[in-house]
Amino acid sequence: MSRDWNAMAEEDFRAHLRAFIAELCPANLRHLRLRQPPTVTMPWYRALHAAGMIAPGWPAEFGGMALTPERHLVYIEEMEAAGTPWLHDSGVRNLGPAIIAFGTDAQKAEYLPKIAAGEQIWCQGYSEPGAGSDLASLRCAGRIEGDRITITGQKIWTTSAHHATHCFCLVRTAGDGPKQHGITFVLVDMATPGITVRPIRNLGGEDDFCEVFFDGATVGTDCILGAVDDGWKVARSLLGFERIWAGSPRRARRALDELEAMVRTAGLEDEGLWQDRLVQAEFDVLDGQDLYSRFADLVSVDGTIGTEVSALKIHATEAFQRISDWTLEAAGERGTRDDAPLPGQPAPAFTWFESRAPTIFSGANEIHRNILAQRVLGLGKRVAS
Amino acid sequence: MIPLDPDVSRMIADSVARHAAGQATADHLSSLQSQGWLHCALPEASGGLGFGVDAAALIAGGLARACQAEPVATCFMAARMLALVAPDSPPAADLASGRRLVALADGRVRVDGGRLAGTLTHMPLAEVYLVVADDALFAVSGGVEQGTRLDGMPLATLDLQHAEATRLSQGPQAAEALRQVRAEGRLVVAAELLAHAEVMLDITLDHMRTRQQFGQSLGHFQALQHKAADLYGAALLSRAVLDAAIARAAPGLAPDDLDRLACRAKARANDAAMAMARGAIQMFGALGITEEGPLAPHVRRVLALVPLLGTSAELRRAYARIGRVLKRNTSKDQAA
Ligand SMILES: Cc1cc2nc3c(=O)[nH]c(=O)nc-3n(C[C@H](O)[C@H](O)[C@H](O)COP(=O)(O)OP(=O)(O)OC[C@H]3O[C@@H](n4cnc5c(N)ncnc54)[C@H](O)[C@@H]3O)c2cc1C
Repeated sequence: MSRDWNAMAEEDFRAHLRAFIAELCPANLRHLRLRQPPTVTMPWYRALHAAGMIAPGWPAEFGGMALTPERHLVYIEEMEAAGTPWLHDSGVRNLGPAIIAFGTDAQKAEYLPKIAAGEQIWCQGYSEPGAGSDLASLRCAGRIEGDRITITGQKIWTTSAHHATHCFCLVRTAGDGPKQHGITFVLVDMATPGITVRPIRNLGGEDDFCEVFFDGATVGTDCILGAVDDGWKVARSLLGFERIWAGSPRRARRALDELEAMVRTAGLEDEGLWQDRLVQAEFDVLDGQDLYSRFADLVSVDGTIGTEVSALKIHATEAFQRISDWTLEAAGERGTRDDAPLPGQPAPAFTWFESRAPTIFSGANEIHRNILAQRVLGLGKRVAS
Repeated sequence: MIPLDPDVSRMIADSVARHAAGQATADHLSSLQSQGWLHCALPEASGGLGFGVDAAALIAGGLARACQAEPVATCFMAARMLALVAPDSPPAADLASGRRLVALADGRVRVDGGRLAGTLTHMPLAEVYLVVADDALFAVSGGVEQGTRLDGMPLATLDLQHAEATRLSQGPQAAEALRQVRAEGRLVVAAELLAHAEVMLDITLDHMRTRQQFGQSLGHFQALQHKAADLYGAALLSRAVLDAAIARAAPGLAPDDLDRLACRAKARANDAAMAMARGAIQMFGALGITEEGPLAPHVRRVLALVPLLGTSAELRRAYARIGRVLKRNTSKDQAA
């Protein structure tokens, strides 16, 4: 089933999404603050898949909606407004586009349908204890013998590894030459013998990311995406999309709703200071939306995302932090009880904890400032990233 | 208003850029006049080109890069006001012929016993002022020069009690037009502010690439790289907001929507320009605070334009009065 979603009038598209969500996303899954395990969210995932709506960014030939970036933003907005749950969709968002760009026909046929159907849940194995911002210094080893590749080493901060069926990892297959060379992108089944996963609890009290240990886990070389030793190219191609996603205004938007609710709860809505902050927060969100649309337009014109997108990621993530700081301040002592956040209710400290992460992941904001200064503005010497 | 088509936009931008790159002429005013840039917002029947806010922003923004945008915004607002409510009036003819300079006088004006009352200060110097009071548009002359603005422009005071006033149009459309023209004026001034910010960024980046200290260019220092990245981000954000606002405003919008867009865009341009002024001066060191330095005319202009039609705090207050759009209850559906 394939329809032209972009040809629909925007209002019709919104109405279609709303009706669909109202019918198929159960109320008990809405406006949840804690991320739910796949057992809870998969029915909604599968409902989206059944309707051909799970992969908004993929081309239609692979079962995607092929939305223009502008439409994609509408899609995100409607999902957010209705409070649909966070999904284990890293396969859709991150891996899918890489397989479409770099995969063999066999890989496309093998993985894309299973990702779309939710039969495979993917996690991203990039970071290591010794390789964070300096990702290319990674050391987790991949040894190729014949048609097998054997992985030994450790990954860390791997989101949802404990729920994932598969992991796309970067491993080192050659140690000589520049550090970006000799990295290979491997698609690993988590059921492979020799893999151990240990969850790490975060400040918000969630077990969201994990350590992943590879102790001689062996998979076929048909699991290598792109060329051996050239996985950096594959990984890099994902970064732009990851960054535009990290730069979407959705988090700041949600934080603004919470700020407004908290200002009202605390009886501050008539104070000039808080009225002003609400407007400042709204400007941050709406202005961020304008910037997002500008980048989205550029992507739809030439299909690539320039390094300038770093500015979008910085604005979106820091606006989220500014707003959540204010919510915590508006809450005062109300914000100090250590309760699990309830659906749709303000949870200022929880949000504040949550707001710390986006300035660190998808490239820490300091790294984005380096990129802007060195690659966009041409200051200092160029450094590889 | 019919928005400019891309070809016309490009033509305007090119000729403005050529003008800005050329020698500043002694008779700045008549050269702008002869290009048609001061009265292009008048309808064609009144001798103008029927252009709107998008053209004015292009012209003002382009000239601002060379600190030559005065009095484009002032004349645009006057021309637009006349276009909306008094296209066949004598001031429209004055503006079209370049005979007399016409400006919109923006401020609180009373009507007392059939006469205008009050004093308007911090006005641009012009021969004819358009004043809205009591549901009518008046033409008033008799402004007196009183001091100089931070950017070197003369400031005028207009004592309405003793000024000669002619009624140009009567009815609620005058106040409605004033509201629209102020909003559009904010977008035009925002275009100037952003242009100054962008030029200061370019100047600063050049300086960072060339100025050597501790054996390397300033651009090697990460502390400064991050400041530059933030200034770049501020300009990029403001550009995205302003271009989107102008694109939406050009074909015409409901008054509240236009006001909201204009408040938001000018607030962002104000903030970008001020951030740039502060950051650029710091990165230039002592040279940054000299009158002869490359930043000075831009910095002075920014300080003069930020309060014009609203500081950021004033604009946010105005926005709050109109009403925010991202309200929590509008973002939830019934099932939630
Ligand atoms: C919630 C969350 C989820 C994540 N999920 C995943 C995942 O699924 N898969 C995965 O592979 N990784 C994941 N990560 C890891 C993430 O990619 C890394 O945290 C990130 O790359 C930064 O690395 P680091 O934490 O080791 O910090 P470091 O690199 O040690 O940085 C520490 C600090 O130093 C600064 N710094 C470092 N280098 C420079 C420099 N050159 N100039 C200036 N400042 C510098 C950084 O900006 C930061 O502020 C996740 C992280 C978080 C927070």
